[in-house]
Amino acid sequence: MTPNSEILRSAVLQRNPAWAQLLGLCPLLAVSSTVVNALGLAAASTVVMVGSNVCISALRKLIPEEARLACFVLIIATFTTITTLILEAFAYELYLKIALFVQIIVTNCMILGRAEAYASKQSIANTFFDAAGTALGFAIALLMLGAVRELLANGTLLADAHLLFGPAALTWQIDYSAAKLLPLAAYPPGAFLVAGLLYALFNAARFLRRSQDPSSTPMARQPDQ
Amino acid sequence: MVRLLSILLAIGGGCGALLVGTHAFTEEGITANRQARARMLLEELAGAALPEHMDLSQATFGACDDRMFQRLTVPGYAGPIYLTVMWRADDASLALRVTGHRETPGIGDFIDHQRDAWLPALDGSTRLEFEALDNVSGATITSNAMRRAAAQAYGSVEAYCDA
Repeated sequence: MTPNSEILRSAVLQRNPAWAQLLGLCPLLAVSSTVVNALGLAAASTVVMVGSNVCISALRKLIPEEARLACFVLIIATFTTITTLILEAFAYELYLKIALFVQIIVTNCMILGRAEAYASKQSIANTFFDAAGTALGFAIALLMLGAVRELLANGTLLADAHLLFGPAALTWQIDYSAAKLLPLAAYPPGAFLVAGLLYALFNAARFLRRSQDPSSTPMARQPDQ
Repeated sequence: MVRLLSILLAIGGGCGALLVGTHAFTEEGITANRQARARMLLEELAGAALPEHMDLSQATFGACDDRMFQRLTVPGYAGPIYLTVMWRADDASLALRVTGHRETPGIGDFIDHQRDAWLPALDGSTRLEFEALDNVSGATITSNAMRRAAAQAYGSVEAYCDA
């Protein structure tokens, strides 16, 4: 496995921001009521994560140590604002649904955490793969939660896909609405329940994998790169 | 110290330039989207299509002998509440819709017509009915804001039509 793919794999699986580190849970739980909302927030988070971390890595030798956090927040806020403006211009209906949570990406500790722990110390290429992996891990968590909650609460998948993909996506909706198994899943308590069950599933998979591979070390003992 | 300030200024300037460029690129689309939404909301309130030439950018517009539309801002619990209001001349009634707010989700967001039917249920209420409106339990400031918005709307209509 090449170093870059190892960085990517580690960011998606071992250090998955949602299921391994429990970071960024506020937007994760609030926005993941449907797959389309989840996809919108995942795309916005990816743009901010990759853009700001690559930018911080490129400027790491210039950014003064004593003012680094202010610079990181400024750069992250810039990318968040750019993403918000683009969303408002080109996906207005989706923007109206998830705007609040896109705007608070700037305070997402997942992004600032990777900027401080990784991007400010590593090359642009390594940072790109780390940021892309972290964003992908967050996107997978969002999509898993969005898909399960939408299925349980509404009995649909990809409802309102046209808000993100245009009129061609009007036919993409998969409808099982005759079987609404758990309407509670659409609400915040349901989000906590589903997220808790998925977290348990993710942990069970990790423990199973660790027990089958004695050479793998627990995530918590790995030094942060 | 000078070097530190220069670097901070350079980073701030770069971020500012990126934002200015993005704003210029997206401004047209954002304006069009906001106007389309404003027109849709007004047409929903009026129950009919509005004339294409009607200038929706004014704070108060319409006809004193038919319908007047207004944009209002009143202070809420967690910041300003933005409203669009329609006044009908025939029965001097109001219909209010909130277009932007930061009220507490689950407590003060009953004023959002996309979440709750509380405000649409008041469509067609008169000045006296708005003045006698009950508070919603737990959201006194938000309820006061709606009464204040109705009073402000009546005041604006009178000032506009008397002028």
